[in-house]
Amino acid sequence: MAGITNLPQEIITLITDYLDRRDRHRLATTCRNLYESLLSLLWKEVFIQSDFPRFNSSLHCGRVAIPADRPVISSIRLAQHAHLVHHLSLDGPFSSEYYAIIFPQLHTLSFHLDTSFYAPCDNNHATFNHTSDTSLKAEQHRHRAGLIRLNPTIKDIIIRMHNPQPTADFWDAISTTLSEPTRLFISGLSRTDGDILDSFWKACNLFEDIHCWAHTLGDTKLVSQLSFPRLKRISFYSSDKFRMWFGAAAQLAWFKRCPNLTRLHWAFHSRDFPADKFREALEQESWPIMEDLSLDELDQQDDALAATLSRLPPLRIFRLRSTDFGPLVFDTLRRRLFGTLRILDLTGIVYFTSRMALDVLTECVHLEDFRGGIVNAQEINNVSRPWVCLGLKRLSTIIVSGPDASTSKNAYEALSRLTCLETLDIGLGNVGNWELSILVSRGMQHLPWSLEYGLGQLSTLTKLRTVSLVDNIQELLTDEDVEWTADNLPALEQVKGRLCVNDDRRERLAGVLRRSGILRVDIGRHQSKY
Amino acid sequence: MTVILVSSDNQDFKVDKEVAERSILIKNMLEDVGESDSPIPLPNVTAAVLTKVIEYCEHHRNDPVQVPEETDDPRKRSNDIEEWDMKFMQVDHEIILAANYLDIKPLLDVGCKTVANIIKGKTPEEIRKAFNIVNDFTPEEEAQIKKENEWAEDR
Repeated sequence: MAGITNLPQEIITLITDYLDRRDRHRLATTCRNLYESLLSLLWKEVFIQSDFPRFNSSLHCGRVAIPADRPVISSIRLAQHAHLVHHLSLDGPFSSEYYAIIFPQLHTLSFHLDTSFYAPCDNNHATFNHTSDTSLKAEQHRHRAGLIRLNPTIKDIIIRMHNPQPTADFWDAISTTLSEPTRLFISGLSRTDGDILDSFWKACNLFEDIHCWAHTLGDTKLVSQLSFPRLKRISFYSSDKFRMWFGAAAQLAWFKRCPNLTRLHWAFHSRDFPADKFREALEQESWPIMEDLSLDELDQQDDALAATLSRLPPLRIFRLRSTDFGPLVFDTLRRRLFGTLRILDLTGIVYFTSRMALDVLTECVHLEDFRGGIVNAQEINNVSRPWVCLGLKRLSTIIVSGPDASTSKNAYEALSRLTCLETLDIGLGNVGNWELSILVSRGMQHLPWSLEYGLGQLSTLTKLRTVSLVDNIQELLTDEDVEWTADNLPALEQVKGRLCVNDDRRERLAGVLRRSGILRVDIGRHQSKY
Repeated sequence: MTVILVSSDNQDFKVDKEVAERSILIKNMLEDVGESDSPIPLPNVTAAVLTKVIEYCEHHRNDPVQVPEETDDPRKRSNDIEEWDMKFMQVDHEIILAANYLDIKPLLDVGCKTVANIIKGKTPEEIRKAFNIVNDFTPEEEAQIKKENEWAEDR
């Protein structure tokens, strides 16, 4: 095909809708015409990485190489295109000119703060000057505050950080400049106290959606004085070890003053989970419109946990991490949530049995995304009820094959009815070590991705885009299986998982997939967990 | 019932109305003029291209009208082209221009997907080769654009 450069802008835009960032960029690099056509797309999201040397720990060891292909944009070029930038991501320290630019359409500002010590160094040895390093970082925080003050259009702020922590001035810049911002994402907030802490909370008070990963956060009376009028979604992960800090009870007291919460993702890496108070809060219907709840590290016994969760509101999304999950908790979830759940994530829960997983699949009518559990193909046969979650878009569970091929065929038949499925993850990439050790210790065999075992029935899954396969160390996978996968799943874009041990053969199989348009094939780097 | 379409180089094409109406442009024109035997001039489409477009519309004459799909994914999918369409699209950009002008959305979509699939995974040099694009950047300009944007997808 010739003449692409003669196509009008509107058609170039239609074509680029089908391309990812990298392909768009490569297209723009071919000639001036296309570069001009793609200009606003290319500058919409800008990511710049500082060329300061960095180290991956505060012990000054392990210098991280600066990637040769890191994006480098001069402050002059950035200023020239500032009007096109919607999302700016600054990774590391920069000179002051970068922070003096007005971006009239800036929506998202992302800072990757000093993940480690930056310091001037020669090729081999770092030459640290702690004083200049500290003053450099203080200066960076001042500049960053300045950038926020210049850009009141910002709605979303993303900050990934390490010591030293942002200054009070930095947080004040947020709370005095931005009106009705949406999303604040912070990871790595630590050892924050006094004025800085108060300024931090004042900034938080403005947002609708807060995602915070923090540890050893100080306590302050200010939290109980703020109203958080716009707060709807909280994800709060803390690793407080001491009750004297802003501990789980204080966190809960804060959440309770936010009746408009629709989402609560809460992890508290400590044993001071205020179970009774949490139960009380649920009983009092503290969050009447809550639809998305995620709880981590809930280490209560089955009966106690079942009591804690006995008054759950009708959630659409529920995620639980707990070591003592048992039949009573499961019955509670069934009673409270099965009629409303869209997403259920119980990954890594040891006592989430195959029968329970099948109960989920045969009872949760609205389920769209289900993660966790080990489903035994033999039990699919025994449970005669059909799977009712026909709108399921993502299934991430281990399926264990039965004693013979006909049992596996029934498992594939059950899967073949999930015609809305877009992601099928029967790989071991994201399962817990527990599930894995159960598999191994009981000598169970996962469902082979094989025509012989009934794979052919999956041709009904016309929307399937991503498949994660089990590590195929037994070499059950044949060329025909891979060819079938390439030819019969029309929407497939991505295949993950190690298809076989032999390098040459793996490359050949990857080639078969790529030739049929499945461009994201990640089957080599994945290491077997066995 | 048939209609007569006239290409830019003055060739007449006698086509079933049902086939011609796959083009929203022609459909609207026919509705505007009402019952009439007068030929429809298409000054932006050559006979060669019109032949191909009619071939496409003949093949898809019974397809249901396309409903736009609701999706949250900002990037659209392009690996769902029918086999017949894939063979058909082994032509040049003129067919895309004609589909745009005649307002035949499914043909325009297939054309754009085909172009996107050719681009995917290729280096700039390979893209230039595939489309006969002349590199009119100076080496300095090209290097600058490269280094400004070369970042991995997952950041």
